[in-house]
Amino acid sequence: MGIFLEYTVNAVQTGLLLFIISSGLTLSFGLMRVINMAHGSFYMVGAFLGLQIALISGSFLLGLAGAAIGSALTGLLAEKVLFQRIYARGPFAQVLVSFGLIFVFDELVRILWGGEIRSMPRPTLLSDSFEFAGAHLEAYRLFLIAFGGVLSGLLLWSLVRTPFGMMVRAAVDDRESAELLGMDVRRLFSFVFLLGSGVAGMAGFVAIPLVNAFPGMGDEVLISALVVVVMGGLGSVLGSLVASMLIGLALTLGQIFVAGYAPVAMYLVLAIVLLVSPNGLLGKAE
Amino acid sequence: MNEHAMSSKLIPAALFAILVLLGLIPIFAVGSGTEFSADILIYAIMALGLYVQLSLLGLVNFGFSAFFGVGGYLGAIFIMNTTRDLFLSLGLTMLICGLMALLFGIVALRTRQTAFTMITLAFAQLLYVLSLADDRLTGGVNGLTGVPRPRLPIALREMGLTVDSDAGFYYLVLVLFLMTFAGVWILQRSRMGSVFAGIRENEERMTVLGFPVFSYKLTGFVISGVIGGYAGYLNALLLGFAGPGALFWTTSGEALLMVILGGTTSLAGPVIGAAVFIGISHYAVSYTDHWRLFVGIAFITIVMFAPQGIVSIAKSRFQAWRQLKTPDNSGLTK
Repeated sequence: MGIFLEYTVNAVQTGLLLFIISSGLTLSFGLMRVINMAHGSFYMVGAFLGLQIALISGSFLLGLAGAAIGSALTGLLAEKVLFQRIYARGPFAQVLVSFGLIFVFDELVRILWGGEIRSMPRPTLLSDSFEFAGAHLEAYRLFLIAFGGVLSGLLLWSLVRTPFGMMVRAAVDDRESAELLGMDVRRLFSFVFLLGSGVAGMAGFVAIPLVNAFPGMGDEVLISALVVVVMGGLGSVLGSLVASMLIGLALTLGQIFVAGYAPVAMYLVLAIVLLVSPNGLLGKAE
Repeated sequence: MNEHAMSSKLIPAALFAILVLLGLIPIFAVGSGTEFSADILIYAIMALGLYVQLSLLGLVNFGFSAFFGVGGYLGAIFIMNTTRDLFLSLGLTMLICGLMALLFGIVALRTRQTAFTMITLAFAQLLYVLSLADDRLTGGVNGLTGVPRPRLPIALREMGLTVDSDAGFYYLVLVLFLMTFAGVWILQRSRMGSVFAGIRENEERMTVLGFPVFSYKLTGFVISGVIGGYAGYLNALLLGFAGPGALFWTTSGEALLMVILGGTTSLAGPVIGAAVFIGISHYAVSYTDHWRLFVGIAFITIVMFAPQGIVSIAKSRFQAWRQLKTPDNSGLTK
């Protein structure tokens, strides 16, 4: 039974990390129908900024804060300077501009930090692993579950309970009516974009001890996040949560039974879900 | 009236001039100019393949790298292990890419819009992951290196033709490019092209009118996949290399970028988009290691200031210029 617990921990940790990365993408699509291919770049920017701050200060927490603030501001800048000008221009322009942004961010990271793969040790407090009920558990993965769980909980709580969350949900549901009622959806969107980028940046930073940091690290994560968003149903945060967990499970099971082919599982699950339900698990018809 | 008279003289003349220039490139090109031109034409073929889906049928395929990447691997594998014959290896590559497009189209075309875009992306990423996981056939991360150029049949070789040299290979690419361009042009103006346009504008209406919409879409999908496949084949043989990078989603992104950059509404769009994309990349590479930064900035700038693509900007400039020359006509056309 110990091995079962280990796999569960891995699946939940992978799923929660995916969820916090993709939450910003889900909300920005739900609010403004924006397809932001550069979302993975904010994940990368957070990872590198956080790593730099953690190396200088020697503090994991300061690194995490730096990752959050740095990537949130980067996201806000991109939104104010570029995305705001092209909302009305439809998906082509958005895909192209954000695709161009990927080139820019990947190369800026290469200029600032070089092209090498960079690693970061787990913080000393969390570097241990221990036996529990016959399972070999890593403290860092448990920390990631706690971190992802708290962040996801906060996100869902604020969406359901706070006035801000209500406005976001109202605007996702029916943007025109929300605007007629006097909501400034654009400002709301700027704020959601800022939050989503910041959360993605934090995810990038805490992922370094598991997957390292390198220019282009966001390009692979972006696809996983897109898979989550589409599988869950565009704009549905709860759908994204369910999809993240499914993919975490599929990846972990894939790792066990067909190591090396594990990512195949993710794309197969997506294809099956889309064939059965083209709008995703909890999405509304477009 | 005047507009027609002008274009009927100007456009064939311009096309002829471009054709002559394209044919003369290997004679006058210096350094790697011939290879560079072949590179542009190969990506133009790929972009034309995507154009069939994106512009004619209105299908936003984000997994076009599947055909380009698999075409490259197939070309490399056939030429290294099976046959160096150009027509045989090219024909087999096209056949397999066509079958792949058929199988995949049957599944993917059941979905629409965002689901279609994502399922094509998933399919291409699936192949990318497989190419990395199973290195017996694909060489894994390193890919297949040292792929030789194909050979022409003896009869053609005795006439002094070769595709071994850079110039010879360039002419092969040029011929395939012209055939592709002409083929897509004919398709666009054919009855099938009109049905494609009908499907793009309003799929339900075409279904109600009794058109077998699914079969038409599948046909377009397969044509486009075959074109993407031989573009990948040519690319692998030009570089002497086939690798997983061609299958990664960024290749699909670049293909979309080329078509949209050039303009989705005319056949010149994908060609000009490919030339601008490869051109900017090529020249930025020779000036700086950090060429991607400038390529990215260039794209963002172009998209921000030329929303309809380069071709339509050029068109409107051309029309403005013509109206300046014949001011008395501008009132009539309004």
